[in-house]
Amino acid sequence: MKIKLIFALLSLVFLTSSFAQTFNGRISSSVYGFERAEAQGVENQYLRSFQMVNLNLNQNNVSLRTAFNFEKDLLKKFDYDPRVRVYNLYFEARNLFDFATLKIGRQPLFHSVASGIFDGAALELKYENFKLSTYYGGNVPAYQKLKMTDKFSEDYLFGLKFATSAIENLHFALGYINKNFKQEEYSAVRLDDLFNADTLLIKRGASQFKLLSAELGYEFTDNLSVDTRLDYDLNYKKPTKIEATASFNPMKNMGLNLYYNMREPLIRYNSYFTIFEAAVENSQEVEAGVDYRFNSFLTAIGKFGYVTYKDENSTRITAGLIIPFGTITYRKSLGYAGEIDNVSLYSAYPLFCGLVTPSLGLSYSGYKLSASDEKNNVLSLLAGFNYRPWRILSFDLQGQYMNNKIYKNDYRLFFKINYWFNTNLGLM
Amino acid sequence: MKMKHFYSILTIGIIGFLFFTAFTTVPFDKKYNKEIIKFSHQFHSELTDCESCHSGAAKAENLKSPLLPTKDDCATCHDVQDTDACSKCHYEDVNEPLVQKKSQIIFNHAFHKEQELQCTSCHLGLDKVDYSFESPNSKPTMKSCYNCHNEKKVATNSCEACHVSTANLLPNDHKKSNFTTLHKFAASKTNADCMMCHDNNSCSTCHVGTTMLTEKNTASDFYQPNVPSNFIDGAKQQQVTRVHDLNYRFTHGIDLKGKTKECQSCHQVEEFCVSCHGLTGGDISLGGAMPSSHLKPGFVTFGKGSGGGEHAKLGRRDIERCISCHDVQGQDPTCITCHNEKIK
Repeated sequence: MKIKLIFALLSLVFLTSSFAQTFNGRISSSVYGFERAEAQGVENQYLRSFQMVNLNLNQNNVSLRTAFNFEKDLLKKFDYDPRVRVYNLYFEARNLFDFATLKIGRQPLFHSVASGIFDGAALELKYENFKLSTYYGGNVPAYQKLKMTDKFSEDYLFGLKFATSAIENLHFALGYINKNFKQEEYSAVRLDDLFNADTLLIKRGASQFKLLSAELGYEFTDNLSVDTRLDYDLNYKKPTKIEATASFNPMKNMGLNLYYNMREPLIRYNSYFTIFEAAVENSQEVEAGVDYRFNSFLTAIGKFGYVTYKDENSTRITAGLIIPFGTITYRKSLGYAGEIDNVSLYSAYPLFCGLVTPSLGLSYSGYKLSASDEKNNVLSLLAGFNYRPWRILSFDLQGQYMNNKIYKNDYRLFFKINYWFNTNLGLM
Repeated sequence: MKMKHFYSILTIGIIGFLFFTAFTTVPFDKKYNKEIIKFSHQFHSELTDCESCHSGAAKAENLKSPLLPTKDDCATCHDVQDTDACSKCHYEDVNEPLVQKKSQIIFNHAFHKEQELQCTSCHLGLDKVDYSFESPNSKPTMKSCYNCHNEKKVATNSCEACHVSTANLLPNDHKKSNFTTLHKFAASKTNADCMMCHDNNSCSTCHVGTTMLTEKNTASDFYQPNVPSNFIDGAKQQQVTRVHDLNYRFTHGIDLKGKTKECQSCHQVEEFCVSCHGLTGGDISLGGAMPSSHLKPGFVTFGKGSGGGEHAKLGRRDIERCISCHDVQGQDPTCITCHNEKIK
C-alpha cells in the first residue's frame, strides 16, 4: 500500500514536471558554529550546516510543492549525519470544477492539537461564502523522513471543518478532528498479586485527541469585532478550551483588545495521565491590550495579562514600541509563573536601497523561576548584516553573544547564502 | 557602575532615540500635486489613454524614473505657448514640477507593459476622480499584485522580488498588542489573505510540532526545525532568534507556567521536554534540570490522608507540566510507582 502511494506520488511529480509552466523556489545554505558545554569542563565545538530547499512546479491550477532540508555537521561525525528532512512534498490541484482544491502528499496542517505536517490527502470545497475542508492521513515519522508511518491504523489523523461568512459580518465554523498517536511497546518491571517482581511487555492502544470545535465571530462595526472559539473533547465529554476576544477602536489610530480563555489541560485520551483527569483543574486567563499609532513611524503597544490557577495566579505586563526599523519591548511577570524583568530590542535598517541591512538584537532578563529560587540574569546580543547585491541572492552574517550562569561569554556565528528564482518555462 | 544600571540607562537612551527619530523624521513631502496643477483624471480618461500623458511610465524600469507627465507630454494636446491659457492648468506663481512620491517597492513598469497588462488593471478608479490620491485604489494594493504574484501563476511571490528590504516588513494590522495570540482568529476566516506573504513554509516556521518528535537538541541529536521561508532573507531566518531569544532555555519555564505561550503549538512536549529535563541530559545546562520544587521537603508524602504533598497540589493545578516530563514514550512514567489505577 505504502509503495503504491509513493509510486503514485512520484508519478505525479513526473507528470507535473513534464508539463510545468513555471518553476520557482528558494535555496538557503547556512552554517551555524557554536560551542557546547557537554559536561563540567568538557566543551566541544560544532559547525552545523543546513541546506534548505523548496521547489515548486506549476501549470495553471496544478502545482507540485516541495520543501527539504539537508543537514550535516562539518566538524564532527555523527551516526545520523547527513540527515534529509522532507517537510513538504505534495501535489495540489486548485479550482477543480470551479470550487474544489485537492492536495495529496506531505503537507502542512494547522490545528491546536495537530499543527505540523501529515502524509495524506486534503480536499477543500469552496462555494461563494461557504467552505468545507476535510483531511485524512498518517503522522509523519520522526526527523521528517521520507517514509510513511508503519502503523497507519493507530497513527493517523482525520478531520473536517465547515466555515461560512454567508451572513454579512458573521463568521461561523464547525470542525472535528480525530488525531491518533501510536504508542511504543516497552518492557517494565511490575509487581504481581504476591508482590513478586515480574517483567512485562506493556502494550497500549493508540492515544488520541478527539475534538469538536466551533468558531463564531461578528463585526458589529468597522471599530468593533468579537471572536469566540470552543473546543469540546468528545472523549472526556467536556469543553477543553474556550476563547473569546473583542477588538475595539475607540478613536483613530487606537486599538483596544480584550482576550479571555479557559483551558483544561491537554491530555491525550488513553495516555497514562488520563487517570488524573478528574482531579485536575483548568486555568483561566484574561488579557487586555492597547496599541496606539502616533504616526506612520511609531506605534506603542501595551498589555496586561492575568492568569488564575487553583489557589494561585500570575500577572504579566508588556510594553513596547514598533518603528519602521525595529522594536523594543519591556516585559514583566509576577506571581506563580515566576518573576522576570526583560528588555528586548531588535533593529534592522536597510541602507543603499537594501544593498546592506545591518541588524542588532539585545535581550536582557533578570528572572526567578519561582519565589524561592535564586535570582539570575541572562544576556544575549546579536549583531550582523544582510548583503543583497542582487534581488535573487543575499548573504547573511550574524554574530551572537550569550552570557548566563552556564554559558559565560559564549560566542556563536551564523552565516547564510539565500537564493531564489522564478522561471517561466514557456512550454505552454 | 552596576550592569543593571548600565542596561537601564541604555534602554532609556534607546527609547528616547526612537521617540526622537519617530517624531522628527518627515516621511515624505506632504505636498499634493493638487496644489501644483489643475487636473482631472476623470476628464482626461475619456479623451486619451494613460500612456499619452505618462509617457515615461511605459519605459520606466524602476520607480525612481520619471513617471509623471512633463510639460512636453501636455504639449501634445495643449498649446503650452499660449500665455493666456496658463491659468487653465496652472495656479498663479506656481510653476514647480509635479511631486513624485518615493517608494520602497521595486517595480518595472516597462516589463509589465511588455506583458500586455493594462494600467487600469492595477491603478483602479482613476477614471472617477480628479487627482490620484482621491481614489483609495489608485495606488495598487498588495492584494492586486497577488493576483499574479502568487507563486502559482506566472509571477513569483518572493518578498525580495518587490521589496527593497524584507527586514522590517510588518503590516499595520500586525502591530497589535497581542497579535501572536489572536492571529488564529484572523487566519481561520474564509476571506483570510495570510497567503499573500506567508506560504505553507512560513507557517511551519512556528507550527512545526510533528508527532513523535524525538529530536532532543542534545549534543548527539539536534533539533532543527528550519524550513526555507518566503518572508525572510535576513538574520531573523534563524529560528532561535526569531521565535525565542538565545537564552530562552533558561527562562522558558516562566512562559510555560504563566500560560503565556502554548508550547504544544510547536513542540511535541511529551518528547521534547524530557530530552533536557531527564536525568541523562548531555548538556550540563540542561541535563537533569529537575524543577526546584521537586527537591523540597514534603514534595511527595505517602499514606492515606497525607494528601500526597506538594506534588499533588502542583499536579492538580497544572498537570501539563507533569506530562511534559513524565509522559515518556517507551518507559513507565514515574507516577506509576504509586498511581497504578487502570488507564481509561
